[in-house]
Amino acid sequence: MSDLESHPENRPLFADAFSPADQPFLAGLRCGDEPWAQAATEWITCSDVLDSIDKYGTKVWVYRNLEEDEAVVGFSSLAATGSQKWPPPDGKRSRLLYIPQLGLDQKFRGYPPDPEWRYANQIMEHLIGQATLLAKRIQQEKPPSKHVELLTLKVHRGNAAARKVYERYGFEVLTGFEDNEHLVMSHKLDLGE
Amino acid sequence: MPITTHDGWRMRICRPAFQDFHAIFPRYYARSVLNRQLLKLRWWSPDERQVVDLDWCFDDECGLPHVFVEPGGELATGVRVVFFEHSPDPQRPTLWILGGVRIDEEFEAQQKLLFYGRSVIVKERAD
Amino acid sequence: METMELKDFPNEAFRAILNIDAKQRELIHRYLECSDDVQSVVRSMFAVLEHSLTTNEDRQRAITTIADTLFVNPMEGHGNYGFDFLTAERDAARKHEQVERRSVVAARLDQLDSQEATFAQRLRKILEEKNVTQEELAARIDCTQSAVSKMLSRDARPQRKTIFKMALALNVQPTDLWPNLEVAAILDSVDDFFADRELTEEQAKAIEAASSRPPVKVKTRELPSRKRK
Repeated sequence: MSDLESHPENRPLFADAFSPADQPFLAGLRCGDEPWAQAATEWITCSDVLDSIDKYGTKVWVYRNLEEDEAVVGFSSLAATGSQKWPPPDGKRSRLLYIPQLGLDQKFRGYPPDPEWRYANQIMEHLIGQATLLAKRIQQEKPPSKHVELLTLKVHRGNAAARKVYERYGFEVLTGFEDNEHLVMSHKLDLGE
Repeated sequence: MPITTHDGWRMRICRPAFQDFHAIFPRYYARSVLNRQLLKLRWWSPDERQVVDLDWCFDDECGLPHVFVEPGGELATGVRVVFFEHSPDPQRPTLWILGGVRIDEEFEAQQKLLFYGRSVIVKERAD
Repeated sequence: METMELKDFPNEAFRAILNIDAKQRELIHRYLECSDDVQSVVRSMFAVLEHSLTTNEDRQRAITTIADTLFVNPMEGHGNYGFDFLTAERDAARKHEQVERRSVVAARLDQLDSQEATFAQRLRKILEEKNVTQEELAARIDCTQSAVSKMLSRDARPQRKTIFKMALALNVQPTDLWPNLEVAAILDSVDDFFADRELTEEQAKAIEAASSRPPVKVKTRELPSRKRK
């Protein structure tokens, strides 16, 4: 029996660019009960995702695990920040890549058991791949491109599980950007330079 | 100013005020919450120091009242919202929202001039 | 009557007048049609634009004021100028100009209503349990009984600081009154990171250090797109 036959859950997710038409199929998505998980659910199911796309050009992907099922199991997002200026008063401008939100339906936490196919890992690996492509495109086409090799995200101080995942993917804390609730982490993308 | 109806003041807003709030709160969620707070202006009375739980004050220099919507949770920043009474039809007492600035922004001569200017336009154009 | 000789015109100004395009002519025409008071406002807005110390935010305010003054664009059902605030709120979902947004806006407004209803219900219950009247609560949080009554009847949405004051006054947790207090703060923090910023020295150094490290070698993957029928 093949691996897929014995473990049918071990298969790639489907990744598609989000559109507002996806929102009705997101109605059942629940990322969890923790405040950060509720925030992720609210971000993708309400107006924040649309605002983010309109105002910041954020790219959003929805992930499904079954070809014939419209239900979404998770989502991710990617954008570039505004200008980071240093030194004052009118110093050089740079931008960072930024993951505003990502989330996975809570019933798929730790699923499937095989880390090669675990949905959280698939989403991270897909997203880092997309970030690499975006960083290269910005470097070629759209200044300012300084520091776009840094992929950043905010992680809630209480979300130890997420922080472990990010650290496994090479994210480290970026000091000076934290607020009351969050740390900022960064990952230097491999742009093949 | 008499609040003659159970529903309080009629409330109007000028387009630049909408645009101010869009600039301060790019997120629709935050703007929708700000709008809910501003609905309290229906019960504004110059004789009371608060509008429900919103602090307000009168600026003598520009001759306009402001209400302060506090930051926190839903609103990343507090806002000073400038408004005034202008009732072309005395049977319908009306408040006009002229715009807003973030609470940490200056509110000096230039900003006061901007909002005073808007109040002049309202008085000229409102029906 | 004394007439000016052509040589008396300052050449630069005359050339500028001859070079006006149709759009600029329209702008001047609209300005000239305004009353003296309105023209004075427009001139003061241009003065704001030209001032060297004007902030970007004030520049934007002046521009929107000029545009609103010279290009009146009445909204159907809202009179000749401005908008009815309550009508705009009520119609926010039904008449949103972007059709795909209507259901999202409607859902958001429902959520706001639901939050206020939950809060009112919880507050009422706690007041009963602790045998505290509206007047007593109002006194403890330094507002009027009428204000408390409006929040209980869902006519007014409490501010965050009011929720915290009430929680302290009633010796309960803020989340006992408003369960999702933290969620909104998280969403704002996420959005905040997009903003332009002048870095502090610590931030600049952290970015440089992160940028100087070798890139991380991790597995990436492409995922298939779902076939849609």
